[in-house]
Amino acid sequence: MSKTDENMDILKKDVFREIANIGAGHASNALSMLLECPVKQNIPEVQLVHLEDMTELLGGPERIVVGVGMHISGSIRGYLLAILDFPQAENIIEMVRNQPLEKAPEGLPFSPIDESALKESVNIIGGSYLTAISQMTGLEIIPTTPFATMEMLGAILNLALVQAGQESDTVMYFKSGLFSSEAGFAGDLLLIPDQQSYQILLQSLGCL
Amino acid sequence: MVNIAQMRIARPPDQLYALGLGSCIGVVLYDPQRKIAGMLHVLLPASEDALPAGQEHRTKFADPGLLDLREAVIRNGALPGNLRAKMAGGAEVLAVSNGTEDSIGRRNAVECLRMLDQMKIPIDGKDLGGKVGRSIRFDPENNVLHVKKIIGEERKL
Repeated sequence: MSKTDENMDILKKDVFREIANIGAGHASNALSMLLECPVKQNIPEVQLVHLEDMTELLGGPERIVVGVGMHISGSIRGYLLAILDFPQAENIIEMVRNQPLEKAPEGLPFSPIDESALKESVNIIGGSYLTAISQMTGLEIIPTTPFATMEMLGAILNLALVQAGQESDTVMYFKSGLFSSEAGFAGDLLLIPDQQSYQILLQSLGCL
Repeated sequence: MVNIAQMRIARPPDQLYALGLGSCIGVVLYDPQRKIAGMLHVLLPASEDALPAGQEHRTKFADPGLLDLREAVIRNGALPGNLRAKMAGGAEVLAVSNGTEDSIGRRNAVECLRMLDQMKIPIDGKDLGGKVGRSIRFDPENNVLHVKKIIGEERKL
């Protein structure tokens, strides 16, 4: 547990956890409909950590993952990222497209159509997550179209750390695990708001 | 191991690692004669006015982090006139379609090169830019910077 974590008081942490809980609840419903099987979520984790510690807490900088995400703007700013191991991403694509993975071009993890199926899936899941938060807080949240890549976790999280590092030496993230034993699937959904945004989230719920 | 926004010094047989660099840059300053090296894991180009009174996190930035790295290797026995540099990183791993500004990876690279030029430290090897992340390892015994990506062969600089 990080030192800075103690600085976030219990009430705020509970509020953030509830935000993540509601967001991920909607996201897991959306994924459940998409995959046509039950999807569950674990208890969300909310962490405020030093910049240099984040990657280690999420599996280490060299963990190779498929990262699909979107940048968020509007009343709050930040990133929403789905972090999947390759077989998990493969599973989603195959279930959504109802056919085996196509052969990927040299040097790329997926064929264009498979990649777009994956992005679209995360678009739907992430969209549900953000819509739930937007409805709860009354804040306007505008996601970009998703990006996707297979990379070292450190290289993917770099993006979010650059955003956080401009204002602060700490970064906050909400992590929700989604899993389905029927689909043989488990993956993490991360919401990483920038520093002003978590104040705005608290204000919108009357907690500041 | 040099995590994001950190700086470390090493002598043989110890080595310096920075793993999973995306837009970040690992910069090594070393004295080949005295076999001492330091690595900085740069997150952002310049502190501009943003640096708060606490000096704790200067190492987040190329400027002033590289000044501190130079000072640290010299304090640990390197001679200013012997110093050389190698660096890798600064990729644009995810082209996020929100920005009009130059990629942060490129800005990091430009700022690191500017700082090294300003400090008059010659650059013996660099592997910058592209779209793929890197892991790097520097061995102060032979001054080789090993650069590894998720695809392709390891590169030696």
